Amino acid sequence: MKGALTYLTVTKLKNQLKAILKSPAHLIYGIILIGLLVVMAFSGNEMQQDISELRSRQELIFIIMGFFTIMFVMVFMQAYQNGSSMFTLSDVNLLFPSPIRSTKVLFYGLFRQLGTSIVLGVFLLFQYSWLNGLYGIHYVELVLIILGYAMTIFMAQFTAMTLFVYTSNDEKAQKIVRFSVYGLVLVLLLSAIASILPSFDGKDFMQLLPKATEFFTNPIVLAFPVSGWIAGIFLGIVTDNYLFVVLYALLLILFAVLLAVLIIRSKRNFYEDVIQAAETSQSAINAKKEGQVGEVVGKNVKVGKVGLGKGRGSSAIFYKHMLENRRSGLFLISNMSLIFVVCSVAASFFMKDAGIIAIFSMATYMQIFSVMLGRFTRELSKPFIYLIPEPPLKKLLYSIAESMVTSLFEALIIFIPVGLIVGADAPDIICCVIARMSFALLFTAANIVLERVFGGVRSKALVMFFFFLVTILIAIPGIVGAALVGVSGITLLSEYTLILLTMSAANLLISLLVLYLCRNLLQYAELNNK
Amino acid sequence: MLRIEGVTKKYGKLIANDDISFQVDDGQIAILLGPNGAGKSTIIKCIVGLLRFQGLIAINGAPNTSEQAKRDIAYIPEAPAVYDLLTVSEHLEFIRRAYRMEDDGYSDRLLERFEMDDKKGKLGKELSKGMQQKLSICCALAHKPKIAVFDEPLVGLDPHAIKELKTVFRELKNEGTSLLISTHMIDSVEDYWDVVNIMMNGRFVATKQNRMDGGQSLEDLFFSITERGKEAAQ
Repeated sequence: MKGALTYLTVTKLKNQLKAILKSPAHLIYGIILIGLLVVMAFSGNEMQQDISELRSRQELIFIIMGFFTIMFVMVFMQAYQNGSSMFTLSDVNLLFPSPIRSTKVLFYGLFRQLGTSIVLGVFLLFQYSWLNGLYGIHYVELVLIILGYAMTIFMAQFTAMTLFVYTSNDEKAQKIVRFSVYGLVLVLLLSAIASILPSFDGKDFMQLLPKATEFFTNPIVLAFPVSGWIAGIFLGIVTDNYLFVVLYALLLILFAVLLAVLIIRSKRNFYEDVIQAAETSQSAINAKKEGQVGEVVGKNVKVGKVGLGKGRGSSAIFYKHMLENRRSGLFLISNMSLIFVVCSVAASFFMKDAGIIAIFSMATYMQIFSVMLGRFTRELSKPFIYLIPEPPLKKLLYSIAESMVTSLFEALIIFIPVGLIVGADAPDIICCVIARMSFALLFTAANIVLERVFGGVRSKALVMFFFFLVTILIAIPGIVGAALVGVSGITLLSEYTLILLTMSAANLLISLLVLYLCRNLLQYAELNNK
Repeated sequence: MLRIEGVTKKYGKLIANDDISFQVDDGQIAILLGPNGAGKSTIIKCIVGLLRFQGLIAINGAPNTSEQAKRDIAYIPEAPAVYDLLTVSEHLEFIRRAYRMEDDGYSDRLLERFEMDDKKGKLGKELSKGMQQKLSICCALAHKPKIAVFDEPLVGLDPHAIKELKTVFRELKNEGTSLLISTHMIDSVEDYWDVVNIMMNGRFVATKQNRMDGGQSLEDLFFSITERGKEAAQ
């Protein structure tokens, strides 16, 4: 007879596969997904033909290390604050009390976590086109990047869990751990600045890139825990330096073994420490199912001022959301959005000549990933929104209004500095803010369509895929309109004002139409499969 | 008055509710009884407008998804529905604002009755499951509904809250509110029901009025009907 944990893993996988095969819709999604990947593969190859000279692959190592470091810190902090959520409540209730050795249960959790991390990395497949075009990255290397990403997420969770087991009862130790992690990143950042800045003439920001690349591909810098090691392995692979591969892989393996030994050797049973985390993650799972609300309510919430203060009828939903955002620490901008804002502003230094429109395009692309429905998806899992006696469209608009406030703030903190850096005209800056808001509404509308049509789809990859598809479809009128105005040569106030305003108007109209068509989302909970 | 006529609810091929008709008059307490999977929660969700269905559901004469109907109805779900980041008092403020009600102190009185007045500043996530259930009940009743639908309301409540809720049931009845209560705890409703509907396999298999004559107990009635139903099915 097979062991219980093997049986559980295999059976769950088998049942998931059966569920996909039983659902024709899932099969169709899968086929379209593969189709889209093939299209992207070809478009990438075409791009490569256009660009005769590829950029240095070492530059990519710099990007990878930066991205993986940010992801590691974000995932680590989230997991460490609430306890790592490697286990579900079913594990807590069924596996923990069973006579299976806790070490085995731990490895079962780790194995499953690794699988989940790989699935989360699938979205990187969609980056094939530009990675191939700019750096000549092929599928095998892309798969390696995905594995590296999965390993980063996995190690962040694993490290957080180990440290949580040792420090969960000691607030002072927890503070030390948090400050140490931030401190390490700060040391890396300051060393980078100290190494790069002396050669900067204060004018040409482009000259910073090779310097930064040189710094981040230094073997000593790559000794930076986890993200550095993973970047080091990748550097070894793309430069055929197998000593690097072995060295950094060894560091990674040793660290993983050390973490496992620390957990196993811990005098305290790790079960107790993960129970609360499992409950927290379970409540998040129950509340959002497949929603895009990236919120797990932490242990310590500062209540602050009490009361909604404003709102009658549907508008009470908006003020409630603002209050909840304040308590969750998401008052104006999420961590992910903040990273994108910093990237956009930083990019403007390097893309001065390309102008504000180039930054706008880049920022809009990143906006696709940062626009979330905020509290809306969470709201759908409670009965109140359906029961409130107000017109469904009004409830829908007030439910998403909170995310529009965030978008306005985001647009202002991106385009005012970017405009000043690239020296754009005031009308262009204002129009970029308006256009970004219109895209925020458009992406929100795409999310609403997703809730309305695919609310019950549990697969993150499929949800992401359909989000892209719907977004592309409803963005077409605005893009076409802007292109037509651009070709006609008609201008107003400045070069881009009319183009951006046309695009914004089209986005607004399409979004309102979509929202109107989806208004019945709040008529029946069943319509979004809640 | 709550009127249900020929309601059928299907999930794919599965018929969860099959041509169900009944009504709950003003000031009447109707009980829904039935084994697990009988379709009680489904009909309740249809009534409160969470699920689509074939047939007619009227709340005081208005279709159940109309704004007028929503104003008149209250729903207490089986699993307590509270917001993690709102305090107890803010939950009630939110309901008052959403239903465009003035604060006349009624919601505070509800909190006192369910011994929640000292928890006003606590966040939803800080409450135990039983307390969340009490808050869920207070939220549902805060807008003074004319029809209240309870899905397993007693689960997780402490003895004091159970006693208080039973008193609330009687008071609402006396005020003319129609109550529909789905429960497995038959003895808890034995002393105040007016009409009982027993469900099996998505259908009503028996409906009985309470004549207060001390005849067959609700429990005996339930077992005699459901056991007979099972035997017939075999």
